Amino acid sequence: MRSFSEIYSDYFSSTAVYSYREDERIFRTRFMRVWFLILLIAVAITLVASMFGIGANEYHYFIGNLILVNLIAAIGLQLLIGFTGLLSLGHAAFMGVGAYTSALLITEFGCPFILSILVAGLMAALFGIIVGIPSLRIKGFYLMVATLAFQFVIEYTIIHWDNLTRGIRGIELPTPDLFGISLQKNQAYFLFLFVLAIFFMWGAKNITRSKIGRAFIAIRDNDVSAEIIGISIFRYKLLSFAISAFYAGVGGALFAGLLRTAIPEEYVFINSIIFLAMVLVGGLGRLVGTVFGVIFVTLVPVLLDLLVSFIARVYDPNFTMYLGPMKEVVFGGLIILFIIFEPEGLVGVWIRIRDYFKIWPLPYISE
Amino acid sequence: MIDLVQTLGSGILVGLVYALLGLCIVIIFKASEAFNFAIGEFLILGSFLFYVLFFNETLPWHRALPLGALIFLFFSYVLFFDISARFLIALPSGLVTGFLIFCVLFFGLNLPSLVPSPLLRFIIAFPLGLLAAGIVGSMVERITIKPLLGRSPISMTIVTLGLGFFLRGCIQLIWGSHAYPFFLDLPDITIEMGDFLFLSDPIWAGILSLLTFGLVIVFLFRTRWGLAIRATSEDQAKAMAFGINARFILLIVWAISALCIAVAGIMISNFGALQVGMGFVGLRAIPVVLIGGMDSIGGALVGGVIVGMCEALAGAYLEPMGLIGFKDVAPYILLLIVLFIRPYGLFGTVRIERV
Repeated sequence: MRSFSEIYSDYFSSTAVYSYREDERIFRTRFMRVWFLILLIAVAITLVASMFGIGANEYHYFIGNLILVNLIAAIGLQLLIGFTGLLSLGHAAFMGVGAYTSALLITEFGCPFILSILVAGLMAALFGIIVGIPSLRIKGFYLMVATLAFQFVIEYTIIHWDNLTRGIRGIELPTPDLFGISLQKNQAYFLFLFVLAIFFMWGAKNITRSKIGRAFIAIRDNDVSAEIIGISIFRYKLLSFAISAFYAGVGGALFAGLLRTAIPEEYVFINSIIFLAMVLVGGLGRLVGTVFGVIFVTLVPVLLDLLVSFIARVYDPNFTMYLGPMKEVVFGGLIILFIIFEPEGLVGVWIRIRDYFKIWPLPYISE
Repeated sequence: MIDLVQTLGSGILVGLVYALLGLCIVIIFKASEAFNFAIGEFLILGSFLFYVLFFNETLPWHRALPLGALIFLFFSYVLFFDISARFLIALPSGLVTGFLIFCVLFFGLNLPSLVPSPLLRFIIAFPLGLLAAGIVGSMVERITIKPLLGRSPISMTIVTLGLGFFLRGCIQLIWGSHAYPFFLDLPDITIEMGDFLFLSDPIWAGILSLLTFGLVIVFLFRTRWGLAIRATSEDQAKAMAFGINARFILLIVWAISALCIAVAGIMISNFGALQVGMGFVGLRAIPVVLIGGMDSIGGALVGGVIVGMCEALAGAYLEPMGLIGFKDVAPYILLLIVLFIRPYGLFGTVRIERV
């Protein structure tokens, strides 16, 4: 006679696996599969509902698009920091490289949008390999500084190479389209980005559960022993930089497509820090964490905006000038608080909540 | 030729200020293996604290009161938990300190009317401003760095990144982001010899920075406290075994660092005006310490002078060739080259890790 808790745990939260193949599945438990299905259905319902004018409007979709673009770029940083253990302060610069490559391809050569995204990613990956070369000799903090220097050099190049990038005026882009279908409405762009985000998430997951990902993790945990067991550290570090920069480049190209322009302000140092904040707040070494981190960090300024405009309406119209500083205070504070009190990030909180609800009606499962 | 000497001379004078910034980074790195990315914000903060005292800048009550309350909470906390004073001593002394700070911020110190002579006023306000900066530095260390003791140095470094943004936002909320005119009115010591002209302000900056640099070195190498700091940076565990309070040492190091950064900040503000956007100058310390070596105090001096000269040369010879603003990136390009050739800097400890 099986007890209720056994049946329950078998059906809903079984973490028991009987082969390596099962252990490496993307959705290991039924719990995760159900949640993923719920997400897909929710997105589908939202999209269908807004076609009839119910629910989300264009502004909401714009914020959704921001989240998805940031997600694609942040996954790259997660692979670099969380899985390979290489710190980068130049992620926004890689995004800038991608955005400008895509913008130039579209405006100068009339290249289709989807192809320009791919080329932007490859271009950024090339830059990533160049930045990654010093990682053979330097690591940790020194590498951080090297990527910081790269960030400043790229910023300078974008602003001052007038003939190519048109300086601070930026490059105007036409409305992106996909095989003749216009992505002019944020809603259409959202669907496109959602599919891409799922695709890139899947790609990242596959990287982490394959030989490459295991090599990354070995390098992160102890590079000397990784070298001893026969992992070519230099090659995998370069690969990590290239993949990370590829994601950033794709994110940058999509971001330029979202804004219909490539402007230098979007790829400055503070944005690199914001990406770092996304990965740290989400939790290092967990792809799910990146999703939480990106949603959280992208929504914070939006909510602050709401709060400040509310106070400005009720109390003092001049209050809006505090918005910029308040954002900085909140971002800085978030990084500090998460590192001090929750080093595992939101994913740590999530795991605690999940473990509680997995066995929810019961205090624990009898083994 | 005259042009070159003139450029190099000006570069060296600015470079001495950068050397001071580098020193602040180096002593923190030696003590805790963490890099202080918030240096630019400490620089502005120190300058603002000095500005408040020197120019009698006051704040409206809704900004002064929270700051006073913050100081009160912090002082009571440190006295009660860290120094374990009695509750009846800790609370009132915190209250008094907070009230004093509130009074200074709200009513002002009225130094300009009390002391008419600018030089005397500078001599009074300078140490007071530095003291305030040192206290803020120790405050920041207690709140953000101390909880991280025992964790990896990289997490401390990332915390300082967040700290930079936090402090910058706070400064903007308190003092706004517009420029404040900054004129110290120090005695004119402009050197004019034949074709050379060195202005008074950079010379003062060089002299005061060098003086501070020297004082810090004397403190580190000729006093008991300095010995304790050096022992702690050599090996924290062993120093603690010998009875040195390593946590307190970290507090002192951060206070000294914030103090020196304030000196550099006041000198840099004196070149023009004081505003929040000036913080990027602080990041110039990164090439300085990486060129000199992260854990070498003498290296900071050499690195600072090299970066100052490099910047001046780029400004004088490369910018007219159409590379506008190249002055600001030239040190970083130099840094990249140094990282490729000698990652541990010119004088840093060579750590051989061949993986």
